[in-house]
Amino acid sequence: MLHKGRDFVYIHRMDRGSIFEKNVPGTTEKLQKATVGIAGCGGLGSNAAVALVRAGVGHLILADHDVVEASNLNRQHYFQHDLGKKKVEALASYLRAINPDVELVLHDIELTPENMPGIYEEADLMIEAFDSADSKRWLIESWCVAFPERPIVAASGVSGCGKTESMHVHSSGNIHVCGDERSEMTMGLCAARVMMAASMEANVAIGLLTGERT
Amino acid sequence: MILVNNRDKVEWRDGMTVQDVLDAMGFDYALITVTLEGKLVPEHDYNTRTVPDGTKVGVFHLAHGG
Repeated sequence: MLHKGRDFVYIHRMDRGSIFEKNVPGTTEKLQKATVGIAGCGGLGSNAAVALVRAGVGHLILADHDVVEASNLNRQHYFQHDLGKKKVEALASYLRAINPDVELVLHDIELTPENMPGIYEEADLMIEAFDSADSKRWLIESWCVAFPERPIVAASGVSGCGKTESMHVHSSGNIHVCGDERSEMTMGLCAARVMMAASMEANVAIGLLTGERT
Repeated sequence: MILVNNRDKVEWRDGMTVQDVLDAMGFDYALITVTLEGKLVPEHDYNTRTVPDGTKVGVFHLAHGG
C-alpha cells in the first residue's frame, strides 16, 4: 500500500502533467522556453496573458501600475473580489491558478520609453496592451529601436461592438497590429471585441514563437 | 511607384519624403506608425527620410482603446 504522502504527490504530478495534453503537437516545448513581455494588464493584457499561459508559454514579464476598478470588469480578466488590488498581482494569481509552474516577473510600475528596455530585456516578443494610442506609438517605436530583431504584437481599433469582419492582422517587418485600426475608445468598449483583439494578439505571438504562420 | 500597405499605389517622385507619401495618401490620423521595407521610421524623421522608388511602405493607424 502506498504511503499517503506519496499518493498525493503522484496524483498532483499527473494533474499538472496533463495541462497541455490537448495542445497543438510540437508547440508546447517551444512555448515553454519562450519569454513574452506584456505592457499593460487591462483588457488586452489580462486576456492575452490568460491565452498565452493556457497555450503553454513558460515565462511572462508583466507591467502595469493600476489597481482593479469596477469599470474594468466589463472586459478585463478580474472579478469583484479583486477591486482595489494591484492588477499585476491579481492577474498573477489567475495565471498561477492555470499553471503553477509558469514563471512570472511582475512590475507594478508606470512604463516609460526610458525604463521599458531594461524591464523587457529578457523578452523574446512584446505584446502591446495599452489603451492610449500615444502610449501604443511610443512603445512600438521604443521597442523597434531597442530590440529591432524581436517582434512586437500590438492592438489598434478594438472599440464598439459587432463589426467582427473588420478585425484583421496588419504586419510589416517585426510589427504586427491586430484590430480594425479605426474604432476609438469614445465608442465604448465591449468584452467580446476587446477579448477578440487580445486573442488575436496572443495567437499571432504563438504563431511567431512556434514558427507557424501568424 | 510606391506601394502602401500592400494595396495602395502612390506615384513616386524624386526627393519624396515619408511625409509626402502620407500626404499623398490623405492619411489624417493623429497617431500612426510607419515602416519602410518593414523597418520602423521614427516620427521625427517623417519630413527628412526620403523614400526610394519601389519602396514598400507600411502605415499603421493607432486608435485609443484596450
